[in-house]
Amino acid sequence: MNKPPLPLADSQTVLCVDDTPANLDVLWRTLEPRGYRIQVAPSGEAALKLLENAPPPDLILMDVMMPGIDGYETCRRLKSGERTRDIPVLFVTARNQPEDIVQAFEAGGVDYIPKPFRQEEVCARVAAHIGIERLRRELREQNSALEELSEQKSRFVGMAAHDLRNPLISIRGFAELLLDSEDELPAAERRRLLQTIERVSGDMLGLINDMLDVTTIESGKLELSMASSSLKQLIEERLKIFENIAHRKQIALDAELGETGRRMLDGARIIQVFDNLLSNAIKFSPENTRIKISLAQDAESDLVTVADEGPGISEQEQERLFEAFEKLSARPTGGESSTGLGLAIAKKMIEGHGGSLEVYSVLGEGASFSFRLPREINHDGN
Amino acid sequence: MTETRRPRAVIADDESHIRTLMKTALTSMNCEVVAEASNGAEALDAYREYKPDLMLLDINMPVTNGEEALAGILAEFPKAFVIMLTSVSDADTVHRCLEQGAAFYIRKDTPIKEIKQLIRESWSNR
Ligand SMILES: Nc1ncnc2c1ncn2[C@@H]1O[C@H](COP(=O)(O)OP(=O)(O)O)[C@@H](O)[C@H]1O
Ligand SMILES: [Mg+2]
Repeated sequence: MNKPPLPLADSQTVLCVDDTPANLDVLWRTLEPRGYRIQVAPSGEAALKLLENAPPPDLILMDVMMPGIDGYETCRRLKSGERTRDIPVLFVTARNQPEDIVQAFEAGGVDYIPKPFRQEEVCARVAAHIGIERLRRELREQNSALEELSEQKSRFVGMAAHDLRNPLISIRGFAELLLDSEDELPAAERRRLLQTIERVSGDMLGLINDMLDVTTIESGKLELSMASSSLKQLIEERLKIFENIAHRKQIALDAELGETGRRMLDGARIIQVFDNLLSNAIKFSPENTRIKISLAQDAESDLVTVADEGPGISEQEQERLFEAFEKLSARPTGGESSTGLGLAIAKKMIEGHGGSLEVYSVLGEGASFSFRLPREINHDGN
Repeated sequence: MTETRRPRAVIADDESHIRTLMKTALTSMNCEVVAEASNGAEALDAYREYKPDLMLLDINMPVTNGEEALAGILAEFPKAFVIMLTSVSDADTVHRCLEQGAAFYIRKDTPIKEIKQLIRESWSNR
């Protein structure tokens, strides 16, 4: 006999079912040297019993004529069992009439090896069928992953359509009112309707931009343009812009910005993240509260925190906080718009920088969001 | 609406632009919008406070939704005249609201002219 090939990397298990010990012995001597792990069962019943609990083998070699239930019946029962139906069954038998062969395939077998057999042939067929089954398993797994993805996409499209619909209803309605009212509406009222159209279409545009961001991120095409910048300076500029918005709700912004020096980051994306955290803090907080913004640094990273005195977020809701389209119990307190996309995007942007975005909150006691950016960034491209 | 007194209305919807839209529509048909609410709980409070002649009540709202608010309102004010505002996706809920005793329902994407027409008709048949 030739020198057996090297054992397979993760060894495969073959269950041999035969009532004749000598036959089992031959199969064992054929397959064991090639690295297969061998299990044996002396009858169909014994095989079924073994498979009730044991982890399923990668393949079964099955004799046909055995006392008790024969190989065909054993195979049929295996094919009807949830756990065992995908194990490929090869019949090894001296019965070689065409009817026998047909019956073997009808019972659910994948192949038929006539006795007496050549060892090389048994090995080749066993290897081929294990390979096919492995590919089928991979396909099944990929298929269910794709199904899941496609379901996610449908949900996304559904929610997007839903959230775009109401603003469009308003815009169309206002246009209709303005067209029909001719001069009946007082100028101030007309102006107010036009302002609402402007605001609502601005919100829609924001939502569409956010959706495009989510799509870009999900297809793995988010590209960061890194440049040397000062986080402190960047935050100070944003604070100037938000000062007025906060003031309108009597919300005070307390900044405690440590000097962290220049570092590499994608300014536009970090601004987007910071804006979302700060606008959330303002949006969900009641009037006459304070928001604390801090910038600090430890050995490896820079840390930005936005902490408010708003309604806070329960532990259960924190689990969904960073998912797309999750609008939670806290609702805007001053009629601001809400899409539920901001934090989902922010998390990805920060992760793209190799950092992390986290929340700390107890319901009723405000929320504190922080992102940490490592100073050494290994991003995927390099 | 051609009553001697202008009918008083409350509008409940969580989206402010929809409230503005409905308010403009109601005002143009000689209704007085006395209050707005942005969730179900506020809707019930507003109803208690203003006892309006008619209410537009959105179904899909936070805190308590329109269906729950409707139940609360009708329990205290069995004669309340409540028109549900709906999206396409609310079909089952709409049905339950009508069984509970809502006067009518209006899909929000109906053209304003028709919305006004529907409100007028259901108002005169109340
Ligand atoms: N600072 C905060 N305090 C309380 N709740 C918050 C805060 N930030 C976010 N949330 C909750 O998380 C949800 C998702 O936030 P986000 O993804 O930024 O979307 P959006 O701001 O458009 O609603 C919000 O709708 C809100 O319910
Ligand atoms: Mg946000």
